[in-house]
Amino acid sequence: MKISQINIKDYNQFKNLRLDLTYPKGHQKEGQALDKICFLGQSGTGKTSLLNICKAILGATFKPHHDGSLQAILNSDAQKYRLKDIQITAYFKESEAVIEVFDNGDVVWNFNSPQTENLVPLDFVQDFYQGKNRLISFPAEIVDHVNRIVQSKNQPTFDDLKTENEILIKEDISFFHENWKIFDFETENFLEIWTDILRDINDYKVEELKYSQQMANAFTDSMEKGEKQLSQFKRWKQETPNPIEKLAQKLNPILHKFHLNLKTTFDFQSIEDLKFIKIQSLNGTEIPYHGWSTGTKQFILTLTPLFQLKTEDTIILVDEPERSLYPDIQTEIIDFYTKLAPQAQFFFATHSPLIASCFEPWEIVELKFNKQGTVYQEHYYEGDRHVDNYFIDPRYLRWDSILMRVFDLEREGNETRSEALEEACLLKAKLKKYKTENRLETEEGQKMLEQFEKLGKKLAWRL
Amino acid sequence: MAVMRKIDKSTTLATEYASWIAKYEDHPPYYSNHKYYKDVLVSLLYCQKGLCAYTEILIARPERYSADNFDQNGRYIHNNENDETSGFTAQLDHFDSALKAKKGWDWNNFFAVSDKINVRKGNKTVDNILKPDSPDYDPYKWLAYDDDEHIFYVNPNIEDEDTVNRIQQMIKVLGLNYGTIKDTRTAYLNEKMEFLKLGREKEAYQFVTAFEMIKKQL
Repeated sequence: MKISQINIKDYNQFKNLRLDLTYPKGHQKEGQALDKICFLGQSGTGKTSLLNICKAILGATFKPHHDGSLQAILNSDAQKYRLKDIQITAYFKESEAVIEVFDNGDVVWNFNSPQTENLVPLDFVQDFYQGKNRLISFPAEIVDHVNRIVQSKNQPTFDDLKTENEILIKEDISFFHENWKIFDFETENFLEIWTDILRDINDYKVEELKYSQQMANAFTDSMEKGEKQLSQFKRWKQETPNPIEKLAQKLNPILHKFHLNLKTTFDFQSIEDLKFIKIQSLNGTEIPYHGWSTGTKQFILTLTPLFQLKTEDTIILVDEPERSLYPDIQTEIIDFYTKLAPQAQFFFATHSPLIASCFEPWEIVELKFNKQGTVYQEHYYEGDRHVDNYFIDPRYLRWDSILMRVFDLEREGNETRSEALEEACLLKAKLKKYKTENRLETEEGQKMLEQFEKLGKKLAWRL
Repeated sequence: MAVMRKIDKSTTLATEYASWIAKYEDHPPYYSNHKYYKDVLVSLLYCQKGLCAYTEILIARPERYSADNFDQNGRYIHNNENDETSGFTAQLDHFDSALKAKKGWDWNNFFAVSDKINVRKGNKTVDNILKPDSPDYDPYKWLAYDDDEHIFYVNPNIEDEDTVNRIQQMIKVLGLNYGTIKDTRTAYLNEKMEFLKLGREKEAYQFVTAFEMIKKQL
């Protein structure tokens, strides 16, 4: 599903807000829902609220409504948002759905397209999401959230992740699969989520462990049996790609910037080796989870699920993708996310000009307060909503220009810089005058030149 | 015509305000939702041709400050309240805030300025050297413009250190090189400069003094 419009009549700070989330006229994807959206705006303008609206709508469970539409029951967590007076238009491939949140909080999905005429809406949605994930949601505090769980002795941690065998023994696995449509990294079902994400990696590890045990047994019996078992193992290795290596190929280019890489081999020294992803320094020293930097955690905890999970038609919410990341990585992270999930629709919320620079101008929703304290969208086009009528395009701007033009920062540097610039311009003009009057070589001229040089250096000669 | 062209405030469209205030030695208290606030503001915008008195950024379009907005008694007609240009809003500034207490409605002390400048300037001490309507004010005499960095600085021909300091201080107080203003000016005038170099002059509707200075340098 992809969202093409959000209308909010009256909810919290939003009044009569209408967000058109389609590509504008003149774009090769004109009229289609945007692939990625970036919410910007001063704190309090409701960026996270918009993400929460999407999360609540997508995270609902459904039951058929008497008039043939689909009634959504918001989960208990989403009910705290007290949604009302919201209308969302969304597309299931070609089929249009209008999701309406009434002022009493009832949520109803209506399908309007001819393609859905003869279908029971519940069957249609279930068919559509067969084998797919509806929603992946990363809160801004994902690292804090995991840290809190890991630090709390009473809470399950990564060490409590179960291997497939353990799950088979203790849980009904089909139950998980039925419900695995929503991956909300804010909820407390931490272990279930990560077990599912790492399922193929852990299956592979268990398989490898089995082979090594069988080999050990075989060699104990005889060299011949051992050799046979070894060649079987080698064939299996050749035929079965190690999923952690595929993940490493994706993540290592960035991890190398932190002087780290993903550990792709297993030691099987303890049961822990069968569980969470391991990282090591470039010289091979394993670094335990509590030793990872916040940026590393942010990176791995968000990128791994996107690589591991199916994301076709998934809505992915990422609040503050810049969290704990150094500027160079911020400039690449959006590209990273979108390439890992090319058929998903992303909603980001950010305060970072580096992140904003990765978006086409129609993909940016800048929220602002008006004098009455309600929120409106600042448009970057004049007249018709056509690609040619956009007067701001962050992809073309320097980071500092984005800060001023998009984020409305009023100053380009601090007061000291401003004063020094004026001083340098005056010196420059005076020196020009001295040159025409042949006074540069005088003591006064030399002194001025020295002063100009010193100031110029401090200003990195940007004058 | 002369940042800062010289401003001629001899015409007041707000004639009812003018005769009202003429009666007072000590002025009634000034406040921004006073009935004459908009009369004074729009009348000033007329004199300033819609530009901020100090930075010359556009703060009002011609239809907002035209004489048609005043009735025959010289009262501003409140008929068009959504009339601000986007981003930079016109506000009334007391050039010398010290006069606010007793001469709060003094026409000579008023200028229409950008909201961003008004907030920054606050109650800072001023020097009349850069007061845009002073009889002997001449921007070309006191100021120069750097067309690479797009900032105003003290005219390099001024030797007297005290005068240099006074002007430097006022450049700061009036926010002539304030970030967001400078950024808008840079984009606006760079376009004009590029076209000028190609032999095509585009008219400048804002930052007119800076543009004149650039033209002289080219």
